[in-house]
Amino acid sequence: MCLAIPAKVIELTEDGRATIDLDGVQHEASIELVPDAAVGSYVLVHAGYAISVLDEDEALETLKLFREMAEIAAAEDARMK
Amino acid sequence: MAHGAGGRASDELLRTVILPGLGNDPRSALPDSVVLSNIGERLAFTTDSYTVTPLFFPGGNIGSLAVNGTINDLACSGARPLVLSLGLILEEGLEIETLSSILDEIRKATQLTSTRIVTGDTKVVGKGSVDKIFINTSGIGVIPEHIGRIAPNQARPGDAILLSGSIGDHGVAVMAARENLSFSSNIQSDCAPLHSLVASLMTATTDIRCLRDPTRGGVAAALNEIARSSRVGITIGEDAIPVHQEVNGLCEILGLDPLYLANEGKMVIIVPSDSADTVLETLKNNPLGSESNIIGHVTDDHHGTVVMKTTLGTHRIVDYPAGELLPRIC
Amino acid sequence: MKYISEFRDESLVKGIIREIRELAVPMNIMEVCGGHTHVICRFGIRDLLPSEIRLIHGPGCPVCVMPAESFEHAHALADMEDVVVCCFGDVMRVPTQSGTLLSKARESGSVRMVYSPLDAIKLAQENPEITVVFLAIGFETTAPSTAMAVKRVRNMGLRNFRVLSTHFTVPEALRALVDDPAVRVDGFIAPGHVTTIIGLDAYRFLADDYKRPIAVSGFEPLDLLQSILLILKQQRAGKPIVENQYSRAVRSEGNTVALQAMNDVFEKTDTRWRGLGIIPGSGLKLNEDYAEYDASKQFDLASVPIQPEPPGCRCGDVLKGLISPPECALFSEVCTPDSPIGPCMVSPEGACAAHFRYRSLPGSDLDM
Repeated sequence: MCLAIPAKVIELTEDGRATIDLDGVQHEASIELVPDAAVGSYVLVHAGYAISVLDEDEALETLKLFREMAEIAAAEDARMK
Repeated sequence: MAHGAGGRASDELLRTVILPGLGNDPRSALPDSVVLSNIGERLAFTTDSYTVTPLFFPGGNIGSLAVNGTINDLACSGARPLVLSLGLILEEGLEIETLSSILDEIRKATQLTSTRIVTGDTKVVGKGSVDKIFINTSGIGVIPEHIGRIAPNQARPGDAILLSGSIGDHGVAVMAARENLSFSSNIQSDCAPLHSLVASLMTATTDIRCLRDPTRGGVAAALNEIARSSRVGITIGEDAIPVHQEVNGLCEILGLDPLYLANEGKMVIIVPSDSADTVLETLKNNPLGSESNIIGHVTDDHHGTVVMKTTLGTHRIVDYPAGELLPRIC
Repeated sequence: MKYISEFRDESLVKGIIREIRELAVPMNIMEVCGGHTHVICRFGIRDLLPSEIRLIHGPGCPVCVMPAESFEHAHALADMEDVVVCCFGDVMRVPTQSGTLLSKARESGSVRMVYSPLDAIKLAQENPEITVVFLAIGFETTAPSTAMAVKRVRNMGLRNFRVLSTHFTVPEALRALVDDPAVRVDGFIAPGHVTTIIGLDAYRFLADDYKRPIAVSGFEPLDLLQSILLILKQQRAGKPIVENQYSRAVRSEGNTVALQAMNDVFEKTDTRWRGLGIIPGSGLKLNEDYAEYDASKQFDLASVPIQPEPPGCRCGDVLKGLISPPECALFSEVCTPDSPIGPCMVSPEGACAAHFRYRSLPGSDLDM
């Protein structure tokens, strides 16, 4: 129900806002809900407000898990041939 | 603006603003109808009306749209554009400066494409009857003798489907400008005349099955129309469809699908599969086709339906668009 | 790391599917969130799953569950002199007795589409002679932005801004579903973005008291597949918990700043969900402290009698997951995105619209 997009904080502007960038499209969003957002953070933006700061380590962990599963599957396939 | 009623004021508007704005002689005779002679055996004839809001947007405006849109419709039959008519319906109170700017754009667009506006009409209507200005253009073009019939019902199973470049730019540019969405980006409308692109295609091959400019309703509408007309199935690959990164970004943000967004400078091209590579090369050699790609093929399965292989390898239908596309937040 | 394409990588799908197949048992898994429905349909995820796993839709489409009264009130406000209603694109095409908000926007300009409540505040600031009413829709993902907007308006001393709140909350709806004997759900894919706000504990009752496995999921195809796998693993282990698949975005405590803001501005209320009836404590309205900004209190809005759903419409059953959209007799025959009968077809997030739009190849079991 909630379209929130991951965008990079590229500049902190005044009044609790920041300029965010997704693939070259820039927009001003409020960061009042995520006070620990900094330039270079990736945040989830919904309705003009950042609602969460994305944790790169967690993201990499999740991707690592996918890759491990993919490797196991590929090895299985190779064994079956 | 009491200029539309046919009297002295109308004549004044025509001779001091409209004719000079279009680069025509303000003292021309202005007959009720214009006679065209010796213009060729097979003619293409089209008409379209333009009501875009806002009137000016990044990369284009209602004037250039009105000329290029009609030229592109002629090009879809393989026709070289010759002459256009121009019908203007103006809202009372429209600033003369706005009208002049639009006429200027129309003049530039016709000069760029060596077409002429040879007849026209102007009406001024009460405030609120139209949204500032509506434009109708009709166009006549000539189809070269050696070219076979190009039409939406000519696609056959096995044919290749090409797209002359990235999609969604115009739709997103206009939507962002219209809805005052305060996103800044470099996204520009792709509004452009495609007659010379089509002409170069016709030197590369004489057997073109379909040409379609994916305007309102986007590539989804164009492909669905062809699938239905030709009674064939169409399969395309999501990964093969060129979309500029910024357009993709804005579509992610607004929850839009680029397949349904309007394009004003792109062509869907269907040719027999053995000429696909030649056609692709020809397209890529043209500045308006540099991002062309083969995006799919025509099949004998699922007649009347367009199916897309997603980036995950699964398949889903690309439906005919329903109604106006709006951003969503939820 | 861009956080989008990496989680749509086809080469990584095979590995997860293999594991899902190994653990698959017959299970009804409810994906609650309209955003999840959309992704599942758009990427054809059902086609990748073994047939024992049945993904069923839940009521997480805030436009689908909005009662007719909210729309009629929005129209009534837009018809008032010197009032402009600002709303998100999502609600603008819903047909009501008064037409659509979109047609009102095009005709009279008394309805304006916005992307954020901040746009509505800007409109109010620049036009002191009109009253701007922000139609606040959505679940807990969106409620904090409404709360912050109202607080901002108070700080600015702006006098011409009101909110018509139609916010819903998810946990109460899930409780109503598991309490409903007709609903058969074995596990839940919880809405990732709502959970960034409310945190994991909000669903603990489902695992502890109702013994249902839960995975809080992100919105990319790989996220959903991994969430299904986590639920299957919990089912095998026989130990249902609330598991956080979306760990890159969701903290277990949620967003405490957002929760505080919501607490400051809103209070819970018993609210009617279209198709589901009244669910206690499942709505948010502005509390006494902020009553001056509450459009429902500041304007005279007539109460609207509850309309029966059109004959044959089974949106209520779709929202509870009792039937899938193609099982409704009206689906695609009479009820289509072009001529929608019920709310699940109108909203692009609605299960019926998603099923219709992104249906599989003819001949598959999703075909009409």
